[in-house]
Amino acid sequence: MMKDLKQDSNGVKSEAGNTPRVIVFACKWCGLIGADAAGRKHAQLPAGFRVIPVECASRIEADAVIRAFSSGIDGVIVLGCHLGGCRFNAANHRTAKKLKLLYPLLETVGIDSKRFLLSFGTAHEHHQFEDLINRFYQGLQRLAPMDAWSGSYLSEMGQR
Amino acid sequence: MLKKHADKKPVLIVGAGVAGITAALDLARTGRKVHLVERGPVPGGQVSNLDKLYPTDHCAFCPLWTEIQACIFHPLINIHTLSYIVTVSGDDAGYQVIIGENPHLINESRCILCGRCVPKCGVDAIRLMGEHCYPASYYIDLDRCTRCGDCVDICPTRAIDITRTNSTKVLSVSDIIWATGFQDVDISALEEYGYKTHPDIMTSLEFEDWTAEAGVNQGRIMKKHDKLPPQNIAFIQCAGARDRRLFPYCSAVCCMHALKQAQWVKRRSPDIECVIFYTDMRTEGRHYYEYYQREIEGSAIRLIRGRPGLIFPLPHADGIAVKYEDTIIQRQEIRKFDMVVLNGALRPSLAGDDTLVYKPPLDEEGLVDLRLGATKSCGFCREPVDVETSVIQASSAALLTCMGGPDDGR
Amino acid sequence: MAADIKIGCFLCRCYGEVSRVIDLDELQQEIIRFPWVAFCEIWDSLCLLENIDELTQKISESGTDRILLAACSPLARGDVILHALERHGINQASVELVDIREGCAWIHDNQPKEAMCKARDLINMGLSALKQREVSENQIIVPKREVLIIGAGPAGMSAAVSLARLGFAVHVLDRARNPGGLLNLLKRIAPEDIGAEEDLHGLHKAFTNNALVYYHPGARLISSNGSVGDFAVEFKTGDNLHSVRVGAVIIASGARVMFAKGLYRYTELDGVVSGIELERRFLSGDVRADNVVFIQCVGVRDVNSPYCSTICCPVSLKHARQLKDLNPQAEITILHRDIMCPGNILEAYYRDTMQDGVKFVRFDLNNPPSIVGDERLEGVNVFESVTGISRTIRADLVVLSSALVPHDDAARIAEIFDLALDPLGFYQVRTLMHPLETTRNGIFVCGSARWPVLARTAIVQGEAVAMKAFALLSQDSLAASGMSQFRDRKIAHAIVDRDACTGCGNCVAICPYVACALEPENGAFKSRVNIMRCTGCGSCVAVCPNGSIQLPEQNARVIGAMLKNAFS
Repeated sequence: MMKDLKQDSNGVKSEAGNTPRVIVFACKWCGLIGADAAGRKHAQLPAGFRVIPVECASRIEADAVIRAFSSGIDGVIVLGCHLGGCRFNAANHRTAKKLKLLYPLLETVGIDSKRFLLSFGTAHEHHQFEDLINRFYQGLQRLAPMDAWSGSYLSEMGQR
Repeated sequence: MLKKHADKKPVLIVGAGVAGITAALDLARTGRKVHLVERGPVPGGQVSNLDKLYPTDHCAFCPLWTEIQACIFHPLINIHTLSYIVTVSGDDAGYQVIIGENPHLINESRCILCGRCVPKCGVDAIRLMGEHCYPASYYIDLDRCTRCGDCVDICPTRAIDITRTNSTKVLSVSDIIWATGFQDVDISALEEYGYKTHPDIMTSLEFEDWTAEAGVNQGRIMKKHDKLPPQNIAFIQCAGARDRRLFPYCSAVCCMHALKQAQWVKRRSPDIECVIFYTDMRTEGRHYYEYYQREIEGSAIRLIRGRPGLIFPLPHADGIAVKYEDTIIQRQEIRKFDMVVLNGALRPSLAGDDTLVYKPPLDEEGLVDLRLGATKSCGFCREPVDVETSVIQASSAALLTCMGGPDDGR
Repeated sequence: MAADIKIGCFLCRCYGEVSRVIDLDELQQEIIRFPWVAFCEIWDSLCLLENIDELTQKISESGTDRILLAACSPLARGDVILHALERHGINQASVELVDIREGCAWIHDNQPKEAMCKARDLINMGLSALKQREVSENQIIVPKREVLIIGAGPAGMSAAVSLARLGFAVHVLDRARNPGGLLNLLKRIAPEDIGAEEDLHGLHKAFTNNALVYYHPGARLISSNGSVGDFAVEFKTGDNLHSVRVGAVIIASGARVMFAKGLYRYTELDGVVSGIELERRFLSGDVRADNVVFIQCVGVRDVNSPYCSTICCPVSLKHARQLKDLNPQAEITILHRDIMCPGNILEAYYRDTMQDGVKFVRFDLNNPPSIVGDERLEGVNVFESVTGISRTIRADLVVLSSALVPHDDAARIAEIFDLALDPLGFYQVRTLMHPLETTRNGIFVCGSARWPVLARTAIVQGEAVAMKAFALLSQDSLAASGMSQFRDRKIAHAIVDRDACTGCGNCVAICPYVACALEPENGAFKSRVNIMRCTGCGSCVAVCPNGSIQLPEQNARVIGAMLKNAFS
């Protein structure tokens, strides 16, 4: 079901002003605390991101990230606790190792690695949540949309 | 056995810092009722105000938050904030304690954080206690509030009641555990440190606040007087501690605290030179030496052994002079530093607070007097210790209330 | 099953905080059209005391089994609502809290249209998650009210006596034939400066005389199975095999004294002794020496052993004082890198020792002292870092401070209990607020097995773990859903679809809590999760090659459904 898309001046297709679509997998500890801090301050953020909370960032498999992209999402952020502060006995260390592989892997399947962000920080650093989201969005704006070329699989498979 | 225990009178714990919270949860989980009396508006104590903790380099909020949450939601723990002890009477067989409560003008259980009351206040008395206070609620500073009542009607849940006044409660308890911790100290009486002679000479707790991620500068390191980044920072250890004039004891936490602060400065701004002037680098705790090695070797923090003799603001220039003896080159030196952090003097809260109506017997150093066997205490109010040791002592003190006193001459 | 789910929805205006940005009436109209939504109500608030009663009443009357609350952040008032519902018997796992305040209205105040889209999407995500959510199986056990303690040094004895006095039977395993551990080797205890025998007399007596303390001298641990509340442990004393079932395990196996092999000409020259040898000499008789030099940081605080053994400074101070007591004219010098005497008691100990005339000379790691003398000890040469002068101090006795190192046994015991050791060989424990707990629920570590400590600290730690074990085992029952490491209940634990499981072992390898194990089944291996150990982190789910291990409350279908509904 193709929506009526209009191209804005940045070359990013947006629907009625909706900014790039981003999924944020946030651990319920540092990730969400940071997001909550931004909320409490009424920090104004781009409205195109949706947060999926998980107990620990280690729950997120590479699969979920790739499927998110293939379903038409423009960017994925995974937020976990500071390496050294994961309450699940440093499970986030393994997440770090595992998901870092996504950066080169995504490139091999035609997805710019700048569309993926893996960030570990303390709750207070995610008080910089707003900076993180804003910078990520700025990065996305500079990229061509995912299905900009007719040679892209996505436009044919009708995922968007 | 277990039934008998739960039927005992409640335990009173004074202070809801890391030690008090631990003791409260331990006891409540055995079925014992607990009264947790805290003089501040929220539980958490000094540790919750810290930016980062050693040796995890993690913020203090996360580990503490789940414990505070568990306390708040535990049916057997009664938390009395803005409260203090008025009188204590009785003995080992049982105490009658009168606690005074300063009023929470905003009912925390009704505050939905909408913040509409804040702009209504003409004297800026309403705010959130810290970025992530827990429980989440706005608070009215009793020192500033004029009880004008302008904020009352705007509150959608009718959470504000400015007519509330101090109240007292009588508690009948079996034991009292003191867990009142420490507070920062004004060491301007020790003139050689130059405290208060320059805005950029501050105590380590003030520096922690100033450079906190969640603080006013969002983690940026800058001088207080001109808001520019400093070129160098001097950390002065044992300032006021191990000093017969003020505190003969060693505060136990400052060496690691300085290492942690210095390495976070380097992490955020690698170009800032950090020098730690120390007497003994006390890294005897669990994995502390590894932390020390990693940070000293990794980030080029310089250590100079020696307590500076004099610290003063430069009379005709921007900066602070630190006069010390460099034992490596065997010479007196004066160096200019942009910021000076004084680490050392920490006072047990019981000794430092003149407004306290009741205190247990304290020894010459202001610590709970251990010679009086019956007084149970844990954490810094008992002896200067770090977080892990405070928490261990808290569990031990909790155990003693379950047994009605030690029997092995401890 | 998912098709039968009926969801009750509550949208919170938050007294205008949400409703001024998001049109809740419009949302209500959309939501109510979904066949799986039983009802959708808009309330002014959900979190106040008066709301909770009404809320729980409405929920129970409506007969819905899943609830969606669109309100504020869990850190604000969300947790309050969830806890209140829990207290009224509504399982948190059946409630989905969607944050449309801090997560939507408040961060998109100036983009109401976009905020509306987002709120719609977030609620759709919540609804689809609830539809796909399953419930973890639970397990409830009555905990065994006995405790196993490994080690009968001061920490072990203290824990044993404390628990016994509370009414718990304790089995104490000791490698040695008599309780006391390292304390049996001491004449005097620092910093109290009282005789070891005298000091521990009370503890020793209480340990030996308490009928609830079952002391097993000469014991050897063989195996352990089970988890918190029910550990089946086997051990041998001589040829006899014993089996016990306990609710908690306390490791208090202590540490051993380092043998200063190859350091400072130890065992080559007669006058060079170790701290523990000196202690032995005090036990067997007086020690007289006229010129004594102590060397600190022997074999520790270097590249090979990057840790401070904590006790060596207080112990050397103790020895110096003992020597001074016996010979007030003795010249005693302590060569050190830092004097580790934190706090008030130890700092005062240090100060008093200095006042007694003991001298302190500092050296650096790069320039350690050296022993002077060919056939006979003559003295110690030290480069004094404070003065920059190198000098030789006359000595007829050199004492090398004895550090504590982990027992050789530690690795074996750790393996039996599936515990980890830190890189130095001490038992790995959690930090900060849970310093005596391991990542295995129900297994605690105290005393020098955890980290070198003085006797008094070991006793306090023994009391502290006793309190922890008491708090754990005084529950009427232990439920797997309550066995979270840090909150009173956990949301989910993993479960394996045994038909799909290929036995690859990824989950076994990655689980931070050793909760997965491969079991043989019909010639193949299948994974099984011990739900008492599982904390619900989801690490296993992320590494499973075919999704056969899942967290029911947040299984792959939940994530998939949330992704699908994230953008309408």
